[in-house]
Amino acid sequence: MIPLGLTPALPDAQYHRRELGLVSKSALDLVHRSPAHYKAWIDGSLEEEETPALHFGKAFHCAVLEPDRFASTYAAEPDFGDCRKKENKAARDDWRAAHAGRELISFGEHEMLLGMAASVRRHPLASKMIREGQPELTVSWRDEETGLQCKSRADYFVEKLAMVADVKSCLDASPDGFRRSVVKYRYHVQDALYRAGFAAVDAPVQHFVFIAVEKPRPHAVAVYTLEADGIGRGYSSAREDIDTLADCVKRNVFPGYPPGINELTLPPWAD
Amino acid sequence: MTQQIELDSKPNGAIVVDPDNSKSLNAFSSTSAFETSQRMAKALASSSLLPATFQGNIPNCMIAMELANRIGCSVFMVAQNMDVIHGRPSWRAQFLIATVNASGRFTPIRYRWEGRQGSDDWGCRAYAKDAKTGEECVGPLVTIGLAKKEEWYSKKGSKWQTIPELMLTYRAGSWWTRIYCPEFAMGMGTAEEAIDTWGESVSTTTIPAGLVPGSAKALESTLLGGADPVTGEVPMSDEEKRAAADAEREPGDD
Repeated sequence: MIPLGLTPALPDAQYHRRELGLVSKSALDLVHRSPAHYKAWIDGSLEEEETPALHFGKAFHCAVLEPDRFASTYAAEPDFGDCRKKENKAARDDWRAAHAGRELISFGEHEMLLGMAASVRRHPLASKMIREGQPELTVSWRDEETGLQCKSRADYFVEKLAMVADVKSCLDASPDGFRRSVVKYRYHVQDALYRAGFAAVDAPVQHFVFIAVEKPRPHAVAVYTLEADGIGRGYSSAREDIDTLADCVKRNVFPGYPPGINELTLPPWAD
Repeated sequence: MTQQIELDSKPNGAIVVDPDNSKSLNAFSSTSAFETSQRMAKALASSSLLPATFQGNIPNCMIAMELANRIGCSVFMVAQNMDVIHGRPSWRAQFLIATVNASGRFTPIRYRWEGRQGSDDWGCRAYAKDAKTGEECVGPLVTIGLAKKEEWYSKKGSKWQTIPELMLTYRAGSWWTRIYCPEFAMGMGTAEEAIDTWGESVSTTTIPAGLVPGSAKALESTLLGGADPVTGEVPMSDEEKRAAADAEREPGDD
């Protein structure tokens, strides 16, 4: 159980433990897709994608926000060539034994992460946003309308600025590119949910900034905030998903996609 | 020359319009006036009675003060009657029409109906008489057919299908205002028109107070050195303080 309020350094395993009816951004994304997907995720039967991407994301956060911990926790594994060959495999196993207890990432990824972290430190604004604050701060609260417990984890919270900074790795950090990411990954819902969480524990957040860092070199960095209208939309969507989740949990019914033939309308930008 | 409007002839005291703002504070007239306005805006921004768009947002409060100053009504009223639709500030039609009615320059706006209710040619025109000359000022005809052709009728969030009579009068009234007293709208459209044009927007007034974003510019200034991160207030430099003191000093003090 995650304690209500603000908790720094909550172990990953405790934070990520799945619990029916516990609201998080990931849980709401699944409910938004369909409650059936959410239930499968809770039961462990959802075919999850992108495990390497999640691993990269975790390492990216560590490299940018906690560089010292990154240096002591992660180890860049050299390329040992074709490990079907006995000598290569032996060399790799020796190396791994020498680095037991470290998180292993490929040499290429390690280079990329160091480059991305350095790029953030060179950015005049982003570099100042991740100073004098708390990394990976967990906030947990109870949703007043449904009674469900909610959780979120701020990448970096700076109390004196009333600001949460959220670092995102992406392929395109341009305004147009990142706008698409906001819509695709529902970052506006994350913004609203996190604001609601901090407000609920009497630590209201005025600024929720996204520090977008491109994976490809030169690892360009851009900083974004959402306009109030976007946060409003995110809040409405989060509210709707929380209400749906509460209803599903109450009735113990987790429907999939709507039955019958559904007519599709094309978006306005389609040719 | 500023036009003085007689306030005694108002139909009610709800809205008082006084374009003679010579006695009011103009935030941009001097450094000290700006500083005073900033302090007033700070107080307003901390009020929980204002809509969320203005809470904790000193720049928005200063804009509301400027608009209130120009049309001569209270800041609270401006704040309560302004919606932000897709990032565009817009008046509520009801407020715009009430502002004209209270101005005393015209008789209260009334509506002349045409066509058969339920058909596409059903609609109305707004009209009023010039208080000085008695000339009747008639606005353009707004019909259900027009609303359909302009695609207002089917827009998400539009009220045309549920309260058509009210929508017809609001649109006729706001168009009348645009023609005969454009100075009251100050270039801004109505919230109803904005929704009809761009579709429904989640008004910032629907965001709970704790979720209202602070000024990104203020945060930027703070990080690069300057403004208060929460209020956005930029402290005066020593040079600005000296200039303000000089401006306030009476001639001959030296």
